[in-house]
Amino acid sequence: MNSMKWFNHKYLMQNLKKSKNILAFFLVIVPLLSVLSLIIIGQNSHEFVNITFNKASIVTIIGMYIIPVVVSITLFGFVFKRQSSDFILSMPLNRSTIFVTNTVGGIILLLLMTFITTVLILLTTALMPNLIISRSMMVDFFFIWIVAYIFVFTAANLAVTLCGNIVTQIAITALILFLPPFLIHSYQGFTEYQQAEIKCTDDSCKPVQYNCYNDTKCLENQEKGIYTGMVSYNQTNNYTLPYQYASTVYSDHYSYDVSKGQLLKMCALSILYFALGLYLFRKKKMEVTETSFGNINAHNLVKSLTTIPMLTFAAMCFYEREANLGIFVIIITLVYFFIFDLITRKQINKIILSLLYFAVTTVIVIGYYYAFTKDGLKPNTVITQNNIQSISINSASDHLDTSNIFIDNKKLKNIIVKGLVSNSDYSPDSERLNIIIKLKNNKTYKMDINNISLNDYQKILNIVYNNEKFSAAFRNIDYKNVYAIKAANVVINPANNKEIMDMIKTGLENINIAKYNEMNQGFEITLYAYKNHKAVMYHVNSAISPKLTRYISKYTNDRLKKEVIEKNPNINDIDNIYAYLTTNDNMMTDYIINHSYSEIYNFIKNNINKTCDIKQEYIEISLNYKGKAYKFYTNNIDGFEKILNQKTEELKNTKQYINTLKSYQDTNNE
Amino acid sequence: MIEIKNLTKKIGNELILDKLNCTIEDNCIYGLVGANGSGKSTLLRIINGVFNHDEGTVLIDRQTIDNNERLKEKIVYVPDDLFFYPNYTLLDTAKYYEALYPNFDMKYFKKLAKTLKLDINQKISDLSKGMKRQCALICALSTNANYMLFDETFDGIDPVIRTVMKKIIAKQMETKQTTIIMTSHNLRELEDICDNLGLLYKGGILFESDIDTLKTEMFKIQIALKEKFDKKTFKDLEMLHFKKCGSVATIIIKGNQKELEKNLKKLKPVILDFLPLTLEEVFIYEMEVLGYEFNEMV
Repeated sequence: MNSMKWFNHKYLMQNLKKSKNILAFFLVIVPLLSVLSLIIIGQNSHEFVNITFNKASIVTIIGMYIIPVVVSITLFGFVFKRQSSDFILSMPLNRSTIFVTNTVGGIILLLLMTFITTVLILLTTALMPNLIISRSMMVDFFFIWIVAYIFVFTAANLAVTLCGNIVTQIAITALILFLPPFLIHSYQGFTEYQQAEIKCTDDSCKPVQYNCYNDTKCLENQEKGIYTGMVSYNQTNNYTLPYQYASTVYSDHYSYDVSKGQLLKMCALSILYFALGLYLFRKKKMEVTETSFGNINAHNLVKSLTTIPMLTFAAMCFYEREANLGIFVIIITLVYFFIFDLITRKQINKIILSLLYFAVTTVIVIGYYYAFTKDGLKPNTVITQNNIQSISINSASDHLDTSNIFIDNKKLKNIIVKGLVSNSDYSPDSERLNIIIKLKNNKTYKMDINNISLNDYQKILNIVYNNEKFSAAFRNIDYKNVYAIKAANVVINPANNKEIMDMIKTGLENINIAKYNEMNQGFEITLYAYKNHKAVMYHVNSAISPKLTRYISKYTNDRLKKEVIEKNPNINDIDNIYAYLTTNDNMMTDYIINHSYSEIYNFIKNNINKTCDIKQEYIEISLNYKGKAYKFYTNNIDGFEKILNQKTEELKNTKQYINTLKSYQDTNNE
Repeated sequence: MIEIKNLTKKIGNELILDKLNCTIEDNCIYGLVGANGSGKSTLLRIINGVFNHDEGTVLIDRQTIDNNERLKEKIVYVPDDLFFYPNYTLLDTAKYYEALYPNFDMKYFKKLAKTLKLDINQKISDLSKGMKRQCALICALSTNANYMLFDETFDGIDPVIRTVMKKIIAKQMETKQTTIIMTSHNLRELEDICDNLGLLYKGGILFESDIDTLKTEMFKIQIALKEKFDKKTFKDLEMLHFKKCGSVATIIIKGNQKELEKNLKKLKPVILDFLPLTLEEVFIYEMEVLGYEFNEMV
């Protein structure tokens, strides 16, 4: 009876042993470089830095394109050489066992690498006090990247089963990862262009500034009281991460947010690639080694598929009447066609057949492009004030993330359509809004309004602030998910400072929202939260509670006292002293401050125990000590000015002072 | 027992094995000869499951090799083009085999290495071609597999070690009831060790027989008669070849030695000598009968 074993740990251990050096190098490089990138971020900033998902992922993104492919080549590379293929396949191992064992082994390695990266990032941020990171986010970081790495790994393994050498494996992996989304993305783009038509059909949304620029149809519509415009929108996509990150290189339309849809898609595709890979590995013709494919047509097909992006670009050039560039791209593609032969088959054979494939691919790609673009680029949808269901205003408040608060208000819809239709030039007396429009068919379109009048902006804010959902969200900060509070450049751990959370909570509960946006006399407090797998920042002005403001100024001064003054530092270790005065300061203040480090330090020392009320006039003095930034707040303006005046008297007749003053005056006159 | 029926394998557009039929009995050394590119290595790879075949069946102990790990544990294969992991010593390689072959005998391996004066801690990449082959062979022999497939078995091994290695292989077959298939494009390499020989030509076994039969049923005879004689004189005998030089003729005849002697003595020969035949000569004459030029085949 046939026996069947899916996993052979002895084989895995031997397989890992033989390539331990290369695997160790590639598996350690990502965690180490991730840590290095964080150290660089931390050391380049005296301020506190919130490590977002993208900041933590800088190296991991690059690693996603390299590490899984290297692991796949290391584990499955034996199939590309006659000797190693004979050796491994002659061992008492089923092909299924080999495939499953190597896949599982590779996944374990990638898991290990991602885990080490995650732990090292957490350790680094714990050891570097100016780096803030959410632990919940790092849990997501681990899962997101392991899914993405496994996805690329299974795609690379599938490629192994189809071809006979490494270069072709890489080409096929790239095709599996990039070609389907590229086709969907680009050809969707040719027909939809991610543009919506905005139409105002009555006076309720009539724009103040509107110009048809001699467009006959536009003028006809204008006579009928119809105003139209085009607006670009951000498309929510479910592309897999390798494609999404690659596409952001040339497009700024896509956000870095990783959705559940993307993760599920990658998981499903990984399972599919694995199953397909297993089937094909069992059927693989092992005699095809050290060449791309046994079949020349398969070789030419893959080669042709790899040219689609370049030929699409050529088609685009022809469409845009850039024929010379189009021809140049086609020539380059043709050269690539033969270079591909040389690299993957070490010879150029059957040139006529190759040229035939090239010609057919060129005709199909260009023909396809033209077929979909012959009627011009059509907008994807028409948005009118009547088919809008609700609108979310993203930038209505600095205080909270309002992207989930959709307001159904007729007046708001009219103002928004008016703002979108308006095609006046940019005016300094205008505001910019980021909105999400939800249509009655439930489709959402994220877009910007760049030049909304101040009057309309105020009307929008009034509608938003009076909306119940908005008010509720304003007061309901998700305090339990807040992992760091930054106030006056000090990061406070909410777990150890419950009272600051209570003060914020009470302050917000008692504040009038409309008045909140006018507050500018307090400290800017940022609450960093990680909620529903998404980073959220809440900005709160400490003016909501006098107690809160006092607490922060005291907390800041206490930190300076404890970490600098009590250590009795050498004055030479203190640098970058800068003072911000709420009262007037003259142009030479910075010069004088730079010559008064010792006096200012003594001033700070003498005033460190005095409470500062920032509702009164105050000075904010910042300084750096041993690479860390500190702030000091005091109401003793007279004392500070006395120091500056004395120093000015001392220096005002020096040549350097006179020259500096002259240079300032000259700059001002210019 | 290995039973191969109508085995067909195409690589690209080239037909490598064409409806090949062959039966290899247990506990024997089977020599497979054929010119380069005749399909010897492909046949071994198919037997061992390295290559999939297009048509036909290969049964080993009445089982197919596909997804049959237990059966694969009974087979070891040493290809013509050897592979060792970079930086691996002989001992590392042996441990690799030990991890995958349940009956691997490390003591026996060390004994063989000692016999052949191989340093088990030396990197294999530093060894000569012949020594690498010795390494591969002793690793394979130590697996104690029931079926051992050796492609171009003695390639690169010097004559002294070759003799030692042949003794080891023969002993393995005798003591451990192993079935060994050895290939070579050089018939002389196999004649003193194989029990059976098969000639692979154009994708099929053109001719196969056991060596004892081959050697005991075919004779080279030098004969001279008092009277004039020619080929027709021996028409009643199973004659494969006739060549007359002066009054002495050299003939190759198949048959029982005693009966042949008796029949030929009836012709009252002046000279009658039974000369030994090399295996190569046996093959040459057999092939001539079949209408092939042997030198073109191997």
